[in-house]
Amino acid sequence: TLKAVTAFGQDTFFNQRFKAFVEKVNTEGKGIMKIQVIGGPESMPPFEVGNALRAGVVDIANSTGVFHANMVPEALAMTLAEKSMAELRANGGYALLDEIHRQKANMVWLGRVSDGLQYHVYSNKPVSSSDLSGLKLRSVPVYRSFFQAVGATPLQVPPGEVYTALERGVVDGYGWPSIGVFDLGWQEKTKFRVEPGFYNVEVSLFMNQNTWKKLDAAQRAFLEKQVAWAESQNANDLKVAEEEKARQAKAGIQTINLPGEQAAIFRAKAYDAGWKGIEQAAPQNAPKLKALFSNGR
Amino acid sequence: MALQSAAAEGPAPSGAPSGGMYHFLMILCGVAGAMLFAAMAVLVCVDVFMRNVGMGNISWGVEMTEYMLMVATFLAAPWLLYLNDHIRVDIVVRGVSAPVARGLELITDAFGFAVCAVLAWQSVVVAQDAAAQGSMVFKVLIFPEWWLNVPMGLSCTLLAIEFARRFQRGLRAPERN
Amino acid sequence: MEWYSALLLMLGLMFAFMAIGIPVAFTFLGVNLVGAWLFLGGEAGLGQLVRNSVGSITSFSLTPIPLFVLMGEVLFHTGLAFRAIEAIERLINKLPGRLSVVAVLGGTTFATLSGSTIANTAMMGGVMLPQMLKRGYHPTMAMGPIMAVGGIAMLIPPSALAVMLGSLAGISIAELLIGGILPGLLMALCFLGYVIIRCHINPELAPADESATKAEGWERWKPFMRDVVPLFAIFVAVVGSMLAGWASPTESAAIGAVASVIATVFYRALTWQALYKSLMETAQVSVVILFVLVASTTFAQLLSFSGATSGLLSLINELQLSPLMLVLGMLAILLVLGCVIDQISMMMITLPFFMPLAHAAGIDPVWLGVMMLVAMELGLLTPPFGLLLMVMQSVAPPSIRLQQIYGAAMPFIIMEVAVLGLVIAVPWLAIGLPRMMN
Ligand code: NA
Ligand code: NA
Repeated sequence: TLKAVTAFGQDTFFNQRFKAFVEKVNTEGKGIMKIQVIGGPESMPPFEVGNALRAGVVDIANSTGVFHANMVPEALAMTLAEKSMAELRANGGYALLDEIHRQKANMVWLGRVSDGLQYHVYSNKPVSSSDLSGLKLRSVPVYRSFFQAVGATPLQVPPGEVYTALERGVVDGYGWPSIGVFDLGWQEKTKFRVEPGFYNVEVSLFMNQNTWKKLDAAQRAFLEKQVAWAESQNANDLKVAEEEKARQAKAGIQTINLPGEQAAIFRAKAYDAGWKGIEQAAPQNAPKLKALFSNGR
Repeated sequence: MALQSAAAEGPAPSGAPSGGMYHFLMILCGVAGAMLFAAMAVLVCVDVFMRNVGMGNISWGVEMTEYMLMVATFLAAPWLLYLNDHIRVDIVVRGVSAPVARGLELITDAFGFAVCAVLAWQSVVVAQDAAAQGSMVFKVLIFPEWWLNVPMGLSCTLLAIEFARRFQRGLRAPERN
Repeated sequence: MEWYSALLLMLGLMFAFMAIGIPVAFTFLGVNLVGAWLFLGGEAGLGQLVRNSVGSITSFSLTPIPLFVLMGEVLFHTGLAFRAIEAIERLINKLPGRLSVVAVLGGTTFATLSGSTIANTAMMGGVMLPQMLKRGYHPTMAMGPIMAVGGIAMLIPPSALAVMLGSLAGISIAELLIGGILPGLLMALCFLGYVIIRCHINPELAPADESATKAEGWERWKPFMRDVVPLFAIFVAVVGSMLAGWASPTESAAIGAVASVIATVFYRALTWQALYKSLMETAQVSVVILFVLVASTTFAQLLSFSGATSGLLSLINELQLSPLMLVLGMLAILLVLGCVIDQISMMMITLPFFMPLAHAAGIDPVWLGVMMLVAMELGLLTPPFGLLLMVMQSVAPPSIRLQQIYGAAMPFIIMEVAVLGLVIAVPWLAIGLPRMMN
């Protein structure tokens, strides 16, 4: 039996694929392997999931590289990926980052269960160019330096306070994936979503390396097959994102489309800031990863 | 005035009499905690002020506040034990005879010592492990992750020492019947 | 290990350690070590425990705890709080049970300026009790109102305990703080009515005193306008900065703390010594809370990790209780626990179970949170173990027996239970104001 935790709440979007994965493994894998989900953030704090995996406290986890960038700063390349998982598996990008995970954090990057969703700037003030100066945006470390690069003031606000902060104007907006705004009720206090989005919201399955080594050939083959299935489901994400955007429009969130040239600058600044962060933290691996993960940047 | 004089007295501070360097160290822990809380209040206010007059903000403000809260808590905990101020449920202890109460007190001290010693040891292990792994905290403030384990390690060490001291004092104390 | 064995082990150890008098924080730390070893897996588990412990306290959401406490301590140690109470005393004339009325009004005023129940009761007890006993007040009338009104400090914002509850339970801290206002004021009204009526019927409970100032007109109101009204600026600074969008709810606590210090400067009451004392006292009161949090947050995680939480929850879910029954059950558990343990431990023990249950049953978290605060406030007064009873014992003269203190609290316990019942029956009392705010 493999002990599993998830870094996301049981009923959130980013936990759905993992749920389906576990169910499928447990029904099809009778006698081969069984995954027991121990819990979510109430059992293991998200930023500790990486360490729990590394130490063998748990065997498998539904998490994101963002949560263990303290140990593997290169993991943020997954968020900056402009190539699909299929491409990365073909061009060696997956193999490289998996190897880095094994070496640095004793964990195996099994596969990716969210691919192609983007982050967006949600704002209560109109935005017309890639210059966001004057905006106070609730931010998390992943896109913090990007927000600074476009002139915004990034603020750290606990999730539970964002609603009030939006309502009272303590912040003018926030960064968030294209999905999930409704989970927190923030749509009530949000006026605009800025297009284009940026980055590639990443959720992955990771496994403790010792556990992986203990699996026999049949078990590994079975697991890889199931992971491949989970990854194949990612294609649906884009449709879900479109539905969610339509739902946002219905809830009164207007779309701001940055004009073409500004959009290009906006995205370029996002990726520049992101890769610069990885380059500073992991100067040796960053260029290799950048070549494999990005699209000619 | 009656009210003013009552104010001057206030609630009597509970304290364990002791002297010398150790006493000084314990008070220092308390003072450090108190000063960190004061600095926290000022830091947050300055941050809010700057943001609202359009001077930008202190980018590391929130993080720093979190670390200050953590450090203050761990630093002041041994001082509180020294003052015998940690809350306890003493309904049973109050009802038993003096020798039993003394026995329970010794058990408490031994228990506290063991728990804190293990936590101190594990703090060191975790810090060493994080240092060997090369973990870094990548927020606005970037620093080696093992720094975060130092306050708890220090705190648990001091707590273990204080529990040991109490245990020894408890053994020496003449039985009062 | 089956979930019920895990549950029995964790809770059993906890109660055993607590019962023999091991301080709450170290009880939890000890149980955590055992739990981490068993459920997280040996030494790696112990290391994970240490990491989680550090993480649990490195949280911006908890910063209002020391800051709210600091607000009260500054007013206390600079003597401003006493001046305010004197001014209120001057206003109250000819009412039956005059000093008891002053205690309720003064305590309620101070509750809007202080986030700490202990500071409130210690101050009111230290100031009012000697006078009342000297003038022949019956112990019930002397000690009861002081103890009862002390608890209101944790209901009316600022409140360190409400912040803790909000952050642990995942309830909006701002809404919880605002939600406590009406029940808190309602309690103060009940206390006031009780004191006046009882003393009117039986004047011997509170002998009329000659010392009451006979000042009339402006002379009577001047101290109030000078020493009380401006203090509300502090309250306005906290709530106003939040409503105006200058500061987030968490940040507003810091503004409150600094505003209190600035207020004492305006009154020329601030000395270095008073500031030092306030800060030290703040560290003392708030680190007790914060250090328990270190241990108990990880306790809840371990309980959940072991499967005990979900096991028990599914058992309760099978009972198919209605939301109302569920709420009544939770409050009953809190009231029973409140007799023997402190507020912080109560939260720690119950929240890992209560919140998932409430969530599943669709119970309004703010409503539940406010009722939990009231139930926990009751625990401050219920014998045998009640924090306010102990504070009272420490400030009362030795001639007062413990039974007298228990007896004094009794009528107020009944009134608080009545208010709790009212909040159950009329949820609007708890969620009305927060709704309006949105
Ligand atoms: Na209060
Ligand atoms: Na009680």
